[in-house]
Amino acid sequence: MYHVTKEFPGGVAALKDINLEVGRGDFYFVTGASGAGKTTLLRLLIGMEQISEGQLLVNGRNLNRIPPSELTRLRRTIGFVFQDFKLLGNRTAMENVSLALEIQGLPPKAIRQRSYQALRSVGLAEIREYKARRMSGGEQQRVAIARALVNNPDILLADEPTGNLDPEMSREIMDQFLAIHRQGTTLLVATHNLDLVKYCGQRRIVLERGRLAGITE
Amino acid sequence: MYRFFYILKSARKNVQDDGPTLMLSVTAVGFTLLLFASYVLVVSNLQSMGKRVGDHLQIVAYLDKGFPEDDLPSLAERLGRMDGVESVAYCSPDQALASLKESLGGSSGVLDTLTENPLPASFDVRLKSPFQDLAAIRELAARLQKEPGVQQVEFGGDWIERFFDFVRVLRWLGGSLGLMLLAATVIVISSTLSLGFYARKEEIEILRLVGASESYVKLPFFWEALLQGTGGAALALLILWGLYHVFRLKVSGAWSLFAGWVRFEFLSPGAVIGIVLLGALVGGLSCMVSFSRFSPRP
Repeated sequence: MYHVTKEFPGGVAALKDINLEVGRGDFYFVTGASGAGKTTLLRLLIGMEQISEGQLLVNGRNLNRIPPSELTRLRRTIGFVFQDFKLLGNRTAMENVSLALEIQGLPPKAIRQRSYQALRSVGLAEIREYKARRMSGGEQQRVAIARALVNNPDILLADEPTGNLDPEMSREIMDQFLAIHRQGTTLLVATHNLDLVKYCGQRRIVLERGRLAGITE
Repeated sequence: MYRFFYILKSARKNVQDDGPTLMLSVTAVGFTLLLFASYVLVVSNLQSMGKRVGDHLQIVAYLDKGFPEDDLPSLAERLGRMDGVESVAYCSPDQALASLKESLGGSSGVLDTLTENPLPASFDVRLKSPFQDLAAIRELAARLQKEPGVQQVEFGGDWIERFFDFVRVLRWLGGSLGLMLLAATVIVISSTLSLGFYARKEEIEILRLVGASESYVKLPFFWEALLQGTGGAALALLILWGLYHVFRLKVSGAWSLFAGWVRFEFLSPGAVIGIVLLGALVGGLSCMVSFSRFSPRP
């Protein structure tokens, strides 16, 4: 990110002049108070929002000038985990995870195998045929992580992934992230829970009112 | 290929999830297209009726009173040689009176009071088939009128022309009405699709976030729209077919009076296919309208 500013209509600046470089395989927490710009930062990285000023490169692609078809392809290399899970409640865990592969037109057998593997890696193989809405918050979050991982993404972005979970479940999710990181995936996890940051012992990007306040080890 | 299969699967799921809304929409589209199909049925029947009447046209050339009987063969020969004339049949005043009596049936007694036959002799001129259109008949009638001994030529062209004018006006009125009905259909389908978009807003957002292409997101809606359009058209044709048979049963007795000129027929296979295709076209158009109203990228 080079001098990135994001202003919303009405002149509200969510991010101001951010300069930041995250290397391949790095793991950063993004911290800050509510309204500091954590979510906006992640949304910019996946092209859900467009920057107002500056330059933003993700996986070598300039998001300022990326055509829709390329943005689609880029998103397949990025996994995203949301605080509210963003699962289809009336579909099973398998169907939710399979969705990320079906859009690429993979054969059904390959989709079943990879979805099963992804769900097994988050400990949900046994309940893969449960509808998402019948699952607990922790289980739903793990389905969302499985969906984010099933494409073997280069980058995993997570926005308050433990916001709706109890401390024990939160630590389980963090253990998942650490395991993913060990496999070489780049991680950016937005959270305001500093206990979890300490638990993981990773670096953190600190935002204050839309400005980069620093990067701490 | 698999992608196409997944798109169809997604469309099927949408149809299952939105079953009641979809049924309502198909019914609304069906009744709108029923009005349109009814109009097509009426106009096509009127047109073929007009054509059948036109096919039976013949010209009657009335002769001057006192036209010499000796000159009849030469006049008949001249008329028979004219372009477009199939045959010529002489009708004497006595034959004309007998024919009139026959057609009057029980009321023919009124003719017995006549002291003298007022009907003129005439030639019934039958036309070859390429000449059985109004312009050709009018031109031939004008030539007959110029023949010495021919007092008046009649072929009933005026009322046929008025009939065709009526059909023409009906076609224009129906065309405008049809366009309005089709616009209403587009609104019905696109509104249903927009409801579907809003109902599945989150699903669409998720699909886009995991990297689905716009065609992957939109094609299930397109299939749904096609289903609504063609389903509505099929429903309209089914109802029209039922109404047509009820109508036929009710009025079939009255038709026999018109010597086969009035034959109420159902739409031709081409028109049926055309209406189904029109339903599909309207569905596709509605889908585009819907996309233009609701297509933000997250």
